[in-house]
Amino acid sequence: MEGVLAQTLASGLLIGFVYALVAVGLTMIFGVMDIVNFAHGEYLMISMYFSYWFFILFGMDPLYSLPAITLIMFGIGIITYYIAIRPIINAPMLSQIFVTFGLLIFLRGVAQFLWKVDYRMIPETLASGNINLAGIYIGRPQLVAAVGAILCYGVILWFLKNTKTGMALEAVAEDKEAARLMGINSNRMFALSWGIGIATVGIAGVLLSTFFYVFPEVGGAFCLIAFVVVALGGFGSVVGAFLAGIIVGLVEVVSGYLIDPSFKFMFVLALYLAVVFIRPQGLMGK
Amino acid sequence: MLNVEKIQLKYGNIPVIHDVTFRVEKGEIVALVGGNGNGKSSILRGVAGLLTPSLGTVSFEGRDITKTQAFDIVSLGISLVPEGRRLFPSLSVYKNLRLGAYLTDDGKEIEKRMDYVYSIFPTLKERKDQRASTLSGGEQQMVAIGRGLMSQPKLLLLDEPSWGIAPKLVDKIFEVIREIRNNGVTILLVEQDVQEALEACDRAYVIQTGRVVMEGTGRDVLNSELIQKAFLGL
Ligand SMILES: Nc1ncnc2c1ncn2[C@@H]1O[C@H](COP(=O)(O)OP(=O)(O)O)[C@@H](O)[C@H]1O
Ligand SMILES: [Mg+2]
Repeated sequence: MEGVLAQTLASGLLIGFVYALVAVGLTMIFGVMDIVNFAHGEYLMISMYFSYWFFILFGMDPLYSLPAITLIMFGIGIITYYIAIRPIINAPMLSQIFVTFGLLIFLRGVAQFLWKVDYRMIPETLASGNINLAGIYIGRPQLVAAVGAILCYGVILWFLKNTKTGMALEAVAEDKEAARLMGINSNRMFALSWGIGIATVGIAGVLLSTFFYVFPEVGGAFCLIAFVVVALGGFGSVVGAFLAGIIVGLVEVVSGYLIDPSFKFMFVLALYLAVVFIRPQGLMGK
Repeated sequence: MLNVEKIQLKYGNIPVIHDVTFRVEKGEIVALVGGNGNGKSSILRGVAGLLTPSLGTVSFEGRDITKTQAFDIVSLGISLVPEGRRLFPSLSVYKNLRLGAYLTDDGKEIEKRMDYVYSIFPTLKERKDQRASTLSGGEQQMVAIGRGLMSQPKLLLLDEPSWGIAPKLVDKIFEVIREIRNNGVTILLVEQDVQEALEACDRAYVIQTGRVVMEGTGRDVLNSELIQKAFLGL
């Protein structure tokens, strides 16, 4: 009984790190430019397909194709910004919602057209298998994904806090006009936030592809969770997203264990509602 | 050094500055004075590139900058310390200053400029790791001016440097403004504290409802009937 609970907690913690990584990009794009990317989950889906096809076509293990896919996703983020987002920067919020929601429908449609609605799985990866940690069985892919997510998160936080460009991103997030007065080209910072935001969700996608089915709608559930994580952590807060990701992972798994797995989303959403009522700005929000 | 010719500035379709002409010579302190809502800040925003004039021209050191973007104007040597200070509130004093020198990567040069800012505002050195939002109004104004100096401007634009700070600090801020000028930086400032500004400046322009209604030396403008009646209530 105790062992099962410990195992449950461990798996909640591990998936929580991945949720945090999915959410970091979403919160970063929102923080820097006040735009909600409803298509965030679709980019997760795209990178999972990249990971799948790199494996099927070139026999490349996800852990090997990860760097290349990260770069590709970074480029896709930048291209998305210049093509779809830049024209609507000053548009009313409703237009912005239509555009990123339109992107969601479009990308999902393309995936359905190209790859049908089949569920695909990478059969065996370098990360496959289980390990036994002090009596707790943990899936190696989940452990690898969690460690990867923590590393990636650490790099982003270091970048934001210690480099000039990271400072400039934070400056643009805090006051766009004042940032321009410093000589910061905010347009480039917007593009960069899309590059980083989409690259990080891309990394999450590759890590997830080692133990999760790949299908055109896979982004939906993760995107919903990412929204809860972002709201719980505080819109725009990178640190908040990390803490909230862990909390959501734990709540989901523990409520599934104590009550019923089919209700686990209900508890995650209940947690979200509680946050909205008690602390609308989220854990680390302003 | 700065020549503003017959500019019109609009927010949307509404013009707020009409046909304004003025100049700033190298080494001067020039003040734009006038009551709230008369368009002083808009003029500075026009010079700094945050607003693009719909008519007229702005030129700096002989170069037309009317349509130049704000982030490019900084590199030409113009720096605006905006109304309300507009610090990056959750970043430290150090990072606010560092961002002021965004266009520079030379570590030694940045350190030199930072030392200069600390020499005029010693309290900032003690508070360099504090978040900007935790400082008092006067200290925040020091960070704002210091941040504006970090790009090593030739022309510093100051929008209401006395706004929201303790009265006894106002004199100190104006003293520093004169010191900065004596170190070779030309200054264009905007003030509602008409008396302080006119005493500190070489020349002044009185702005009313988006037009220049009077110009002259600081002393002449201060002694004019218009200023005595309208602003100082004498
Ligand atoms: N962002 C803005 N949008 C629309 N109107 C503005 C804006 N900022 C200022 N104004 C208007 O422009 C006029 C001049 O304002 P401003 O330049 O701030 O004057 P001052 O600095 O002399 O107080 C005012 O009538 C003000 O209402
Ligand atoms: Mg003003």
